[in-house]
Amino acid sequence: MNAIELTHVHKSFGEFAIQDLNLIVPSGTICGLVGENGAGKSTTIRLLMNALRPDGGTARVLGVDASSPEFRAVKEDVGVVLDEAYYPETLTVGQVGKVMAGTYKRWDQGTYDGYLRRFDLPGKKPFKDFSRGMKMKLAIAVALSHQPKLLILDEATSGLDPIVRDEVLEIFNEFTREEDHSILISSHILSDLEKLCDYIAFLHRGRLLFCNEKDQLLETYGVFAGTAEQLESLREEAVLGREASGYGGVRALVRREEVPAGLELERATVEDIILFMVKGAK
Amino acid sequence: MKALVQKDFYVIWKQMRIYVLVLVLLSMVNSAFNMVFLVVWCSMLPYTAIAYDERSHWNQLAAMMPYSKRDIVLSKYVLGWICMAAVGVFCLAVQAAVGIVSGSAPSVPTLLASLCVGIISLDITLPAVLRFGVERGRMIFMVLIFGVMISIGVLVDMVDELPSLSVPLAVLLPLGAAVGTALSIPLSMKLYKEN
Repeated sequence: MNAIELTHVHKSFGEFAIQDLNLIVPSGTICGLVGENGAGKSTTIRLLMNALRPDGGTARVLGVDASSPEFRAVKEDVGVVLDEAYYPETLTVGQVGKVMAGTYKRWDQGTYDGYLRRFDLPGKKPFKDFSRGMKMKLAIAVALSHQPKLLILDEATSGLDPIVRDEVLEIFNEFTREEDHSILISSHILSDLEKLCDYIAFLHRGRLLFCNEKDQLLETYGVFAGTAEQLESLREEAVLGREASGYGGVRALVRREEVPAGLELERATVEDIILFMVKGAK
Repeated sequence: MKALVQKDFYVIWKQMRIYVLVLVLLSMVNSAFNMVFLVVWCSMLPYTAIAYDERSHWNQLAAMMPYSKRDIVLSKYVLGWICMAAVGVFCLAVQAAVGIVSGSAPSVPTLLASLCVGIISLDITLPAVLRFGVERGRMIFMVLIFGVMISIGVLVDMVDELPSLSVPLAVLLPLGAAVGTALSIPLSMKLYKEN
Protein backbone atom coordinates (compact mmCIF):
# COMPACT_ATOMS: atom_id res chain seq x y z
CA MET A 1 0.00 0.00 0.00
CA ASN A 2 1.12 3.55 -0.63
CA ALA A 3 1.21 5.91 2.31
CA ILE A 4 0.47 8.89 0.07
CA GLU A 5 -0.96 9.11 -3.43
CA LEU A 6 -1.65 12.38 -5.17
CA THR A 7 -3.16 11.94 -8.61
CA HIS A 8 -3.51 14.83 -11.07
CA VAL A 9 -4.08 17.25 -8.19
CA HIS A 10 -4.75 20.82 -9.20
CA LYS A 11 -5.34 23.82 -6.97
CA SER A 12 -5.35 27.39 -8.15
CA PHE A 13 -5.00 30.57 -6.08
CA GLY A 14 -5.02 32.97 -9.01
CA GLU A 15 -1.37 33.79 -9.65
CA PHE A 16 -0.10 30.59 -8.08
CA ALA A 17 -1.33 27.08 -8.79
CA ILE A 18 -0.44 23.52 -7.94
CA GLN A 19 -0.54 21.93 -11.37
CA ASP A 20 -1.18 18.29 -12.23
CA LEU A 21 0.62 17.02 -9.15
CA ASN A 22 1.28 13.28 -9.14
CA LEU A 23 3.20 11.99 -6.15
CA ILE A 24 3.46 8.55 -4.60
CA VAL A 25 5.13 7.79 -1.28
CA PRO A 26 5.30 4.02 -0.78
CA SER A 27 4.56 2.72 2.68
CA GLY A 28 7.68 2.24 4.80
CA THR A 29 9.70 4.96 3.10
CA ILE A 30 10.79 8.52 3.80
CA CYS A 31 10.14 11.08 1.09
CA GLY A 32 11.71 14.54 1.16
CA LEU A 33 9.69 17.33 -0.40
CA VAL A 34 12.00 20.04 -1.66
CA GLY A 35 11.31 23.41 -3.22
CA GLU A 36 11.86 27.13 -2.89
CA ASN A 37 9.68 29.33 -0.69
CA GLY A 38 6.29 29.49 -2.35
CA ALA A 39 6.89 26.38 -4.47
CA GLY A 40 3.76 24.75 -3.04
CA LYS A 41 5.10 22.42 -0.32
CA SER A 42 2.81 23.62 2.47
CA THR A 43 -0.13 23.76 0.06
CA THR A 44 0.56 20.14 -0.91
CA ILE A 45 0.52 19.17 2.77
CA ARG A 46 -2.75 21.02 3.35
CA LEU A 47 -4.27 19.31 0.32
CA LEU A 48 -3.14 15.94 1.67
CA MET A 49 -4.76 16.57 5.04
CA ASN A 50 -7.99 17.86 3.49
CA ALA A 51 -7.41 21.29 5.02
CA LEU A 52 -7.74 22.52 1.43
CA ARG A 53 -9.99 21.06 -1.22
CA PRO A 54 -8.32 20.50 -4.60
CA ASP A 55 -9.92 21.97 -7.73
CA GLY A 56 -9.25 18.65 -9.42
CA GLY A 57 -7.60 15.27 -8.86
CA THR A 58 -7.52 13.07 -5.78
CA ALA A 59 -5.40 12.84 -2.66
CA ARG A 60 -5.25 9.52 -0.82
CA VAL A 61 -3.55 9.03 2.52
CA LEU A 62 -3.04 5.53 3.95
CA GLY A 63 -5.38 4.22 1.25
CA VAL A 64 -8.29 6.56 2.04
CA ASP A 65 -9.52 9.45 -0.09
CA ALA A 66 -8.77 12.64 1.84
CA SER A 67 -12.09 14.18 0.82
CA SER A 68 -14.15 11.24 2.12
CA PRO A 69 -15.91 11.26 5.52
CA GLU A 70 -13.75 8.26 6.56
CA PHE A 71 -10.65 10.43 6.38
CA ARG A 72 -11.27 11.92 9.82
CA ALA A 73 -10.47 8.50 11.34
CA VAL A 74 -7.28 8.33 9.24
CA LYS A 75 -6.06 11.54 10.87
CA GLU A 76 -5.61 9.46 14.05
CA ASP A 77 -2.80 7.67 12.18
CA VAL A 78 -1.10 10.80 10.90
CA GLY A 79 1.26 12.90 13.00
CA VAL A 80 1.68 16.39 11.57
CA VAL A 81 4.28 19.02 12.38
CA LEU A 82 3.72 22.31 10.59
CA ASP A 83 6.25 25.09 10.03
CA GLU A 84 5.15 26.66 13.33
CA ALA A 85 3.72 24.89 16.36
CA TYR A 86 0.47 26.93 16.45
CA TYR A 87 -0.59 26.02 20.00
CA PRO A 88 -2.40 28.78 21.91
CA GLU A 89 0.24 30.79 23.69
CA THR A 90 -1.03 30.42 27.24
CA LEU A 91 -0.95 26.60 27.24
CA THR A 92 1.75 24.67 29.05
CA VAL A 93 3.12 21.35 27.80
CA GLY A 94 1.11 19.59 30.51
CA GLN A 95 -2.09 21.19 29.28
CA VAL A 96 -1.21 20.39 25.66
CA GLY A 97 -0.84 16.74 26.74
CA LYS A 98 -4.26 16.75 28.42
CA VAL A 99 -5.92 18.32 25.36
CA MET A 100 -4.23 15.82 23.03
CA ALA A 101 -5.28 12.92 25.30
CA GLY A 102 -8.87 13.96 24.56
CA THR A 103 -8.11 14.44 20.87
CA TYR A 104 -6.38 11.20 19.87
CA LYS A 105 -7.86 7.80 20.77
CA ARG A 106 -4.43 6.17 20.96
CA TRP A 107 -2.70 8.98 22.85
CA ASP A 108 0.21 7.55 24.86
CA GLN A 109 0.95 9.81 27.83
CA GLY A 110 4.05 7.76 28.71
CA THR A 111 5.55 8.32 25.26
CA TYR A 112 4.72 12.04 25.45
CA ASP A 113 6.30 12.40 28.89
CA GLY A 114 9.35 10.53 27.57
CA TYR A 115 9.79 13.01 24.71
CA LEU A 116 9.29 15.97 27.06
CA ARG A 117 12.16 14.65 29.20
CA ARG A 118 14.28 13.81 26.17
CA PHE A 119 13.77 17.29 24.72
CA ASP A 120 14.13 18.91 28.14
CA LEU A 121 10.84 20.81 27.83
CA PRO A 122 9.62 22.59 30.99
CA GLY A 123 6.23 21.38 32.25
CA LYS A 124 4.85 24.62 33.64
CA LYS A 125 6.22 27.32 31.36
CA PRO A 126 3.59 28.82 29.02
CA PHE A 127 4.07 28.12 25.34
CA LYS A 128 4.57 31.83 24.55
CA ASP A 129 7.83 31.83 26.51
CA PHE A 130 9.29 28.96 24.47
CA SER A 131 12.04 29.51 21.93
CA ARG A 132 11.28 28.47 18.35
CA GLY A 133 13.33 25.31 18.84
CA MET A 134 11.36 24.39 21.98
CA LYS A 135 8.07 25.01 20.17
CA MET A 136 9.11 22.69 17.34
CA LYS A 137 10.22 20.04 19.84
CA LEU A 138 6.80 20.17 21.47
CA ALA A 139 5.09 19.80 18.11
CA ILE A 140 7.33 16.81 17.30
CA ALA A 141 6.61 15.24 20.71
CA VAL A 142 2.84 15.54 20.10
CA ALA A 143 3.10 14.16 16.56
CA LEU A 144 4.96 11.08 17.81
CA SER A 145 2.82 10.35 20.87
CA HIS A 146 -0.40 9.05 19.35
CA GLN A 147 1.07 6.01 17.59
CA PRO A 148 0.96 7.42 14.05
CA LYS A 149 1.76 5.38 10.96
CA LEU A 150 2.57 8.40 8.85
CA LEU A 151 4.44 11.55 9.79
CA ILE A 152 3.94 14.68 7.72
CA LEU A 153 6.59 17.23 8.61
CA ASP A 154 6.62 20.73 7.18
CA GLU A 155 9.97 22.37 8.00
CA ALA A 156 9.94 20.46 11.28
CA THR A 157 13.69 20.70 11.83
CA SER A 158 14.08 24.41 11.13
CA GLY A 159 14.99 26.42 14.20
CA LEU A 160 16.60 23.45 15.93
CA ASP A 161 20.27 23.59 16.81
CA PRO A 162 22.47 21.05 14.95
CA ILE A 163 22.73 18.69 17.93
CA VAL A 164 18.98 18.51 18.55
CA ARG A 165 18.36 18.37 14.80
CA ASP A 166 20.57 15.34 14.57
CA GLU A 167 18.74 13.73 17.47
CA VAL A 168 15.37 14.48 15.88
CA LEU A 169 16.52 12.99 12.57
CA GLU A 170 17.55 9.86 14.48
CA ILE A 171 14.06 9.73 16.04
CA PHE A 172 12.52 9.96 12.56
CA ASN A 173 14.83 7.19 11.41
CA GLU A 174 13.78 5.03 14.38
CA PHE A 175 10.16 5.72 13.50
CA THR A 176 10.53 4.15 10.06
CA ARG A 177 12.03 0.95 11.43
CA GLU A 178 8.44 -0.30 11.64
CA GLU A 179 7.80 -1.44 8.10
CA ASP A 180 4.40 0.26 7.75
CA HIS A 181 5.65 3.62 9.03
CA SER A 182 6.29 6.39 6.51
CA ILE A 183 7.36 10.03 6.49
CA LEU A 184 6.81 12.94 4.14
CA ILE A 185 9.17 15.72 5.16
CA SER A 186 9.62 19.13 3.60
CA SER A 187 12.75 21.03 4.49
CA HIS A 188 15.12 23.69 3.25
CA ILE A 189 17.98 21.90 4.96
CA LEU A 190 18.85 19.62 2.07
CA SER A 191 21.71 17.91 3.89
CA ASP A 192 19.11 16.63 6.41
CA LEU A 193 17.01 15.23 3.61
CA GLU A 194 20.03 13.59 2.01
CA LYS A 195 20.79 11.90 5.32
CA LEU A 196 17.23 10.79 5.98
CA CYS A 197 15.24 10.22 2.82
CA ASP A 198 14.70 7.29 0.48
CA TYR A 199 12.93 9.47 -2.09
CA ILE A 200 13.33 13.10 -3.07
CA ALA A 201 10.45 15.01 -4.66
CA PHE A 202 11.20 18.42 -6.11
CA LEU A 203 8.44 20.99 -6.46
CA HIS A 204 9.13 24.08 -8.52
CA ARG A 205 6.49 26.81 -8.96
CA GLY A 206 3.64 24.42 -8.25
CA ARG A 207 4.90 21.65 -10.54
CA LEU A 208 6.60 18.44 -9.53
CA LEU A 209 9.85 18.36 -11.50
CA PHE A 210 10.79 14.90 -10.25
CA CYS A 211 10.21 12.32 -7.56
CA ASN A 212 13.04 9.79 -7.58
CA GLU A 213 14.83 7.41 -5.30
CA LYS A 214 17.62 9.39 -3.65
CA ASP A 215 20.32 6.82 -4.51
CA GLN A 216 19.23 6.72 -8.11
CA LEU A 217 19.28 10.50 -8.21
CA LEU A 218 22.83 10.62 -6.84
CA GLU A 219 23.93 7.97 -9.35
CA THR A 220 22.29 9.73 -12.29
CA TYR A 221 23.88 13.13 -11.82
CA GLY A 222 27.43 14.35 -11.35
CA VAL A 223 29.06 17.75 -11.08
CA PHE A 224 31.43 18.80 -13.81
CA ALA A 225 34.13 21.30 -12.87
CA GLY A 226 36.36 22.66 -15.62
CA THR A 227 36.63 25.30 -18.28
CA ALA A 228 33.81 26.78 -20.33
CA GLU A 229 35.37 25.23 -23.47
CA GLN A 230 35.31 21.76 -21.94
CA LEU A 231 31.68 22.24 -20.96
CA GLU A 232 30.73 23.45 -24.46
CA SER A 233 32.12 20.23 -25.89
CA LEU A 234 29.50 18.22 -23.99
CA ARG A 235 26.15 17.40 -25.55
CA GLU A 236 23.50 20.01 -24.75
CA GLU A 237 21.10 17.48 -23.19
CA ALA A 238 23.86 16.33 -20.81
CA VAL A 239 23.95 19.69 -18.98
CA LEU A 240 21.11 20.60 -16.62
CA GLY A 241 22.45 23.77 -15.10
CA ARG A 242 25.67 25.70 -14.84
CA GLU A 243 27.35 28.37 -12.77
CA ALA A 244 30.57 30.31 -12.91
CA SER A 245 33.12 29.13 -10.40
CA GLY A 246 36.20 30.99 -9.21
CA TYR A 247 39.24 31.57 -11.41
CA GLY A 248 37.20 31.72 -14.64
CA GLY A 249 36.02 28.13 -14.54
CA VAL A 250 32.52 26.69 -14.63
CA ARG A 251 30.63 24.09 -12.63
CA ALA A 252 27.71 22.24 -14.11
CA LEU A 253 25.27 19.52 -13.22
CA VAL A 254 25.46 16.80 -15.86
CA ARG A 255 23.84 13.45 -16.55
CA ARG A 256 26.55 10.86 -16.06
CA GLU A 257 25.35 8.64 -18.89
CA GLU A 258 25.39 11.52 -21.36
CA VAL A 259 29.04 12.46 -20.87
CA PRO A 260 32.14 10.63 -22.13
CA ALA A 261 33.17 7.75 -19.83
CA GLY A 262 36.63 9.14 -19.10
CA LEU A 263 35.39 12.56 -17.92
CA GLU A 264 36.01 13.05 -14.23
CA LEU A 265 32.94 14.19 -12.31
CA GLU A 266 32.45 15.19 -8.68
CA ARG A 267 29.79 13.44 -6.65
CA ALA A 268 26.60 15.55 -6.75
CA THR A 269 24.76 16.16 -3.50
CA VAL A 270 20.98 16.60 -3.35
CA GLU A 271 21.65 20.29 -2.76
CA ASP A 272 23.76 20.49 -5.96
CA ILE A 273 21.04 18.79 -7.97
CA ILE A 274 18.27 21.04 -6.69
CA LEU A 275 20.25 24.28 -6.98
CA PHE A 276 21.44 23.58 -10.51
CA MET A 277 17.98 22.54 -11.59
CA VAL A 278 16.43 25.73 -10.23
CA LYS A 279 19.10 27.78 -12.00
CA GLY A 280 18.59 25.76 -15.17
CA ALA A 281 14.82 26.32 -15.01
CA LYS A 282 15.34 30.08 -14.61
CA MET B 1 -15.23 18.20 21.19
CA LYS B 2 -14.50 17.79 24.90
CA ALA B 3 -10.81 18.36 24.17
CA LEU B 4 -11.57 21.59 22.32
CA VAL B 5 -13.69 22.95 25.17
CA GLN B 6 -10.96 21.90 27.62
CA LYS B 7 -8.37 23.76 25.53
CA ASP B 8 -10.55 26.88 25.51
CA PHE B 9 -10.93 26.74 29.30
CA TYR B 10 -7.16 26.56 29.70
CA VAL B 11 -6.79 29.49 27.30
CA ILE B 12 -9.34 31.80 28.97
CA TRP B 13 -8.44 30.83 32.52
CA LYS B 14 -6.39 34.00 33.13
CA GLN B 15 -9.26 36.19 31.92
CA MET B 16 -11.67 34.15 34.04
CA ARG B 17 -9.74 34.93 37.22
CA ILE B 18 -10.56 38.64 36.85
CA TYR B 19 -14.05 37.68 35.88
CA VAL B 20 -14.53 35.54 39.00
CA LEU B 21 -13.52 38.50 41.18
CA VAL B 22 -16.10 40.80 39.52
CA LEU B 23 -18.60 37.95 39.67
CA VAL B 24 -18.21 37.50 43.44
CA LEU B 25 -18.63 41.24 44.07
CA LEU B 26 -21.62 41.82 41.77
CA SER B 27 -23.47 38.61 42.58
CA MET B 28 -23.74 39.65 46.24
CA VAL B 29 -26.12 42.44 45.22
CA ASN B 30 -29.52 40.98 44.39
CA SER B 31 -30.19 42.99 41.28
CA ALA B 32 -31.64 41.96 37.93
CA PHE B 33 -29.19 44.24 36.12
CA ASN B 34 -26.18 42.62 37.76
CA MET B 35 -27.36 39.16 36.85
CA VAL B 36 -28.08 40.05 33.20
CA PHE B 37 -24.76 41.92 33.00
CA LEU B 38 -22.77 38.99 34.42
CA VAL B 39 -24.40 36.35 32.22
CA VAL B 40 -24.19 38.41 29.02
CA TRP B 41 -20.57 39.34 29.77
CA CYS B 42 -19.92 35.65 30.26
CA SER B 43 -21.49 34.85 26.89
CA MET B 44 -18.57 36.78 25.35
CA LEU B 45 -15.88 34.52 26.79
CA PRO B 46 -15.91 32.35 23.63
CA TYR B 47 -14.67 35.42 21.73
CA THR B 48 -11.65 35.58 23.99
CA ALA B 49 -10.95 31.93 23.16
CA ILE B 50 -11.43 32.64 19.44
CA ALA B 51 -9.10 35.66 19.67
CA TYR B 52 -6.37 33.45 21.17
CA ASP B 53 -7.01 30.85 18.44
CA GLU B 54 -6.61 33.52 15.79
CA ARG B 55 -3.44 34.88 17.32
CA SER B 56 -1.78 31.47 17.45
CA HIS B 57 -3.28 30.27 14.10
CA TRP B 58 -4.60 27.28 16.04
CA ASN B 59 -7.15 26.53 13.30
CA GLN B 60 -4.34 25.62 10.89
CA LEU B 61 -3.17 22.97 13.33
CA ALA B 62 -6.70 21.87 14.23
CA ALA B 63 -7.35 21.20 10.53
CA MET B 64 -4.61 18.53 10.70
CA MET B 65 -6.16 16.82 13.72
CA PRO B 66 -9.15 14.49 13.91
CA TYR B 67 -11.63 17.26 14.75
CA SER B 68 -14.63 17.83 12.55
CA LYS B 69 -15.61 21.37 11.60
CA ARG B 70 -18.86 20.67 13.45
CA ASP B 71 -16.89 19.99 16.66
CA ILE B 72 -14.84 23.15 16.26
CA VAL B 73 -17.95 25.32 15.82
CA LEU B 74 -20.06 23.58 18.48
CA SER B 75 -17.27 23.78 21.04
CA LYS B 76 -17.55 27.59 21.05
CA TYR B 77 -21.30 27.43 21.74
CA VAL B 78 -20.79 24.79 24.44
CA LEU B 79 -18.08 26.92 26.05
CA GLY B 80 -20.48 29.88 26.18
CA TRP B 81 -23.34 27.76 27.55
CA ILE B 82 -21.18 26.19 30.27
CA CYS B 83 -19.79 29.57 31.34
CA MET B 84 -23.25 31.15 31.47
CA ALA B 85 -24.78 28.22 33.36
CA ALA B 86 -21.91 28.17 35.87
CA VAL B 87 -22.25 31.90 36.48
CA GLY B 88 -26.02 31.61 36.85
CA VAL B 89 -25.73 28.82 39.41
CA PHE B 90 -23.01 30.73 41.27
CA CYS B 91 -25.15 33.92 41.36
CA LEU B 92 -28.12 31.96 42.70
CA ALA B 93 -26.01 30.32 45.38
CA VAL B 94 -24.45 33.63 46.51
CA GLN B 95 -27.80 35.43 46.52
CA ALA B 96 -29.39 32.58 48.46
CA ALA B 97 -26.59 32.83 51.04
CA VAL B 98 -26.90 36.62 51.24
CA GLY B 99 -30.70 36.21 51.45
CA ILE B 100 -30.37 34.25 54.72
CA VAL B 101 -29.09 37.46 56.32
CA SER B 102 -31.03 40.08 54.35
CA GLY B 103 -34.25 38.10 53.96
CA SER B 104 -34.43 38.61 50.17
CA ALA B 105 -34.95 35.58 47.94
CA PRO B 106 -32.86 34.94 44.78
CA SER B 107 -34.79 35.47 41.59
CA VAL B 108 -34.88 32.31 39.47
CA PRO B 109 -36.98 33.93 36.71
CA THR B 110 -34.41 36.74 36.40
CA LEU B 111 -31.65 34.16 36.11
CA LEU B 112 -33.54 32.23 33.40
CA ALA B 113 -34.23 35.46 31.52
CA SER B 114 -30.53 36.39 31.79
CA LEU B 115 -29.51 33.01 30.41
CA CYS B 116 -31.91 33.44 27.49
CA VAL B 117 -30.54 36.91 26.73
CA GLY B 118 -26.98 35.54 26.93
CA ILE B 119 -27.82 32.65 24.58
CA ILE B 120 -29.53 34.98 22.10
CA SER B 121 -26.53 37.32 22.20
CA LEU B 122 -24.22 34.35 21.46
CA ASP B 123 -26.55 33.18 18.66
CA ILE B 124 -26.45 36.58 16.97
CA THR B 125 -22.74 37.27 17.24
CA LEU B 126 -20.94 33.91 16.94
CA PRO B 127 -21.66 33.29 13.23
CA ALA B 128 -20.14 36.66 12.30
CA VAL B 129 -17.15 36.17 14.59
CA LEU B 130 -16.48 32.67 13.24
CA ARG B 131 -16.70 33.92 9.67
CA PHE B 132 -14.91 37.26 9.89
CA GLY B 133 -12.77 36.88 13.00
CA VAL B 134 -13.06 38.62 16.35
CA GLU B 135 -12.15 42.14 15.22
CA ARG B 136 -14.40 42.38 12.18
CA GLY B 137 -17.06 40.20 13.86
CA ARG B 138 -17.25 42.70 16.76
CA MET B 139 -17.73 45.52 14.29
CA ILE B 140 -20.65 43.67 12.73
CA PHE B 141 -22.04 43.08 16.22
CA MET B 142 -21.81 46.79 17.01
CA VAL B 143 -23.48 47.72 13.72
CA LEU B 144 -26.28 45.25 14.53
CA ILE B 145 -26.77 46.66 18.03
CA PHE B 146 -26.77 50.25 16.73
CA GLY B 147 -29.17 49.22 13.97
CA VAL B 148 -31.60 47.76 16.50
CA MET B 149 -31.28 50.75 18.86
CA ILE B 150 -31.81 53.28 16.06
CA SER B 151 -34.79 51.30 14.75
CA ILE B 152 -36.35 51.30 18.23
CA GLY B 153 -35.68 55.04 18.55
CA VAL B 154 -37.32 55.75 15.19
CA LEU B 155 -40.28 53.56 16.16
CA VAL B 156 -40.72 55.37 19.47
CA ASP B 157 -40.69 58.69 17.61
CA MET B 158 -43.29 57.45 15.16
CA VAL B 159 -45.77 56.11 17.75
CA ASP B 160 -46.36 57.84 21.04
CA GLU B 161 -46.64 54.64 22.97
CA LEU B 162 -45.16 51.22 22.20
CA PRO B 163 -47.85 48.53 22.00
CA SER B 164 -47.68 46.13 24.94
CA LEU B 165 -46.49 42.63 24.11
CA SER B 166 -49.28 40.11 23.81
CA VAL B 167 -46.85 37.21 24.39
CA PRO B 168 -45.21 37.33 27.83
CA LEU B 169 -41.40 37.51 28.06
CA ALA B 170 -41.44 34.18 29.92
CA VAL B 171 -42.40 32.57 26.59
CA LEU B 172 -40.72 34.96 24.21
CA LEU B 173 -37.20 34.76 25.64
CA PRO B 174 -36.85 30.94 25.81
CA LEU B 175 -38.46 30.69 22.38
CA GLY B 176 -36.04 33.29 21.04
CA ALA B 177 -33.09 31.42 22.57
CA ALA B 178 -34.24 28.05 21.14
CA VAL B 179 -35.04 29.37 17.65
CA GLY B 180 -31.90 31.53 17.65
CA THR B 181 -29.69 28.54 18.53
CA ALA B 182 -31.42 26.32 15.95
CA LEU B 183 -30.65 28.91 13.26
CA SER B 184 -27.30 30.12 14.53
CA ILE B 185 -25.44 26.77 14.72
CA PRO B 186 -26.07 25.69 11.09
CA LEU B 187 -25.29 29.23 9.93
CA SER B 188 -22.01 29.23 11.91
CA MET B 189 -21.05 25.87 10.40
CA LYS B 190 -21.76 27.10 6.89
CA LEU B 191 -19.79 30.31 7.42
CA TYR B 192 -16.89 28.49 9.13
CA LYS B 193 -16.62 26.03 6.22
CA GLU B 194 -16.44 28.98 3.83
CA ASN B 195 -13.38 30.31 5.67
